[in-house]
Amino acid sequence: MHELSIATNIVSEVEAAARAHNAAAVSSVTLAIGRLCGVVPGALQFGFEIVREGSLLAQAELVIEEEPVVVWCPEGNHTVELSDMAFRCPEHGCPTPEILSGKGMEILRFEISNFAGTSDMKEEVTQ
Amino acid sequence: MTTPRVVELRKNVMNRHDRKAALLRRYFQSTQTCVINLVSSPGTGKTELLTEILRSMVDRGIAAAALVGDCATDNDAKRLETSAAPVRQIVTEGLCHLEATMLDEHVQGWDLNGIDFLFIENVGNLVCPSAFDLGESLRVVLLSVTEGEDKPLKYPQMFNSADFALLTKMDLAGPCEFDLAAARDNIETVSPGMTVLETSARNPQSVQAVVDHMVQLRQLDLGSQSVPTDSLSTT
Ligand SMILES: Nc1nc2c(ncn2[C@@H]2O[C@H](COP(=O)(O)OP(=O)(O)O)[C@@H](O)[C@H]2O)c(=O)[nH]1
Ligand SMILES: [Mg+2]
Ligand SMILES: [Zn+2]
Repeated sequence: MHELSIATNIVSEVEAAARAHNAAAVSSVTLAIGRLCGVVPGALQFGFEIVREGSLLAQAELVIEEEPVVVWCPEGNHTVELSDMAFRCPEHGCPTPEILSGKGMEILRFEISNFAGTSDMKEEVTQ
Repeated sequence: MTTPRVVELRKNVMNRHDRKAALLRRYFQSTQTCVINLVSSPGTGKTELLTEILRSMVDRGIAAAALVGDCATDNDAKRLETSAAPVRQIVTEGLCHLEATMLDEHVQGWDLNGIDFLFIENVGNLVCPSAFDLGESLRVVLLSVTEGEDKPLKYPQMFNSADFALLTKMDLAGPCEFDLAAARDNIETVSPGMTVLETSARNPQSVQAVVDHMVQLRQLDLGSQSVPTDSLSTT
């Protein structure tokens, strides 16, 4: 269950960013995870529900967008999306060792539902 | 102001780990230590083969050391120590993988200058360790003849993330009716072009061949590092 450890990262990263935006509550977090990153979406959801307790994300839903594996076909000189984990070009049948995307795990965005107190929220913290 | 607001964060989830791994990688490069992360299912033969590799390296005057991740015991560390190489243990307390931050503690104060190879025996698991960069130079995945030829297809992420593969317990290939060609095909399917070596901890020649391969890769790595000295400053 390394998803628990990954969920912990997500909650702490989003919570820090949310605080910088003067948030009191976050209602959703959207994540893009590559099919090759070795994370099971269901397990991550489960881990997230445990870890979010007591944080600004306590009521937040986790939206997971799965990112396909995209490789380079050396025979046809084109990029191609793989539908499974066989690293072969579906058109040319050649091996495709070069991976262009599908390994990453990125927090895309989050939604703030409530802001803290009445203090102004001028500070723009974008990373 | 109660209108919901969307914040575009665009942040790598593994940021914290990857940063730590990058620091470790720099440290390992500065001491010219080739760090090899061994991953496999429990029981594949990581400890057994690594003990033989260490023994062979000690015999050949190659300075090698090992860090072993174990959920609960120090059994593996004790076995590895019989090789006479320095061994340190990381008790993971049930965690299913090693993380760069856990390594950091154990590497602190360990002078790796003069150590050519540092092996990390990861926790036995073909899923979780694949997502965690430890700052290693090489990731080596092991598959034993007793596990079945289809494992690469079942755990493609792990096999794909490895730099080379070792088939272990080849001395048992016959009794297990191990289909070598199928195993090689399956590895090739999920990781095209990856080197696969056949080994047995009971066969010193196969251990020698693995050591030769590792020495070769380290030489290549050192060669490529020494050329552009300014490449370290890029972030
Ligand atoms: N016959 C044979 N047995 C092996 C070999 N390598 C490991 N074993 C046995 O397989 C079992 C598990 O090995 P171990 O090194 O503890 O696996 P690990 O969990 O991956 O570290 C032990 O009983 C070993 O003696 C091998 O090459 N040949
Ligand atoms: Mg072991
Ligand atoms: Zn093609």
